[in-house]
Amino acid sequence: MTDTLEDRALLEVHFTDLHTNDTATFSVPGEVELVRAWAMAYDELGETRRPADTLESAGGEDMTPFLGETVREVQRRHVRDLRFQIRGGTGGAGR
Amino acid sequence: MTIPGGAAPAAPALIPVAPQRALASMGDHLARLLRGRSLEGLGWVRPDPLSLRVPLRAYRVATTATAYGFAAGTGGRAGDAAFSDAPAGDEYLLALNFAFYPDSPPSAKFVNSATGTYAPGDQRWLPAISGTNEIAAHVDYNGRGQLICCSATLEFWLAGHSWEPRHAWIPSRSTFALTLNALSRALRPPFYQGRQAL
Repeated sequence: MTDTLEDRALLEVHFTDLHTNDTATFSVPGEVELVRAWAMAYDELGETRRPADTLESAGGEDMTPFLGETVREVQRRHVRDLRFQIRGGTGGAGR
Repeated sequence: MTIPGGAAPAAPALIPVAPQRALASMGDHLARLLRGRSLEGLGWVRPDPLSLRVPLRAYRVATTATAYGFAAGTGGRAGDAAFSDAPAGDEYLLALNFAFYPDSPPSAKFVNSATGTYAPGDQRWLPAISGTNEIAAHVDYNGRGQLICCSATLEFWLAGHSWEPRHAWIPSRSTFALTLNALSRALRPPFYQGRQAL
């Protein structure tokens, strides 16, 4: 199967670390899985993924169910602007 | 992708930090948070070098707006006003202090907007939050006064609250943006329930 121009297009993604509000913006091929783009964001931010980290859209939707989808699929189905935020572990009120 | 398995997270040291180091960290983290915005434009006040007063807005309608008046991770300009794209809501004032920072989270308390302090009878200036295990706001926690019960506040640790490793404050990474973002999530539906007193 031949890739279409759309398949080969780069998509700009934005990841904000809610520990700092630092943001990484970079472009990835649309067929890259979201989990891979998330890993690249840590490199861009100079950070390391912590066990408590989760990924959500800028609107606060949990992205965990969609980490295996491609960035293009995520854009089509869930997050049109491809803006994500990395949420760290805070809590304690429930104990 | 690396998930470090290093040393187990520890509770913060809970020791005041040398003022110059606290100031330097606060200044650096403030600049990274504001990204070109000014304290004056946002209506934030710095009553002394290690303290900050941050107006917060709690929302009764569904919104992605933050409680502190601008979107996380976006740049701005000096003079940009807070809440320019946000719906109306209930106004609060958060008092932050950085004497233990960055080794520990900032002290965080809601205060009376008129007096800048929190005294008996000021429950109106404390939001009611329920339905999340991330934050609660107590009028008086075990006789020790107001407590924003969240691991991103100094008082949570000073109170000797139980905690989990995933809630640890990470001095090399965590900044007071974490505190503000945790509050932002709690000050929206479905968690925000209005003022604790009218």
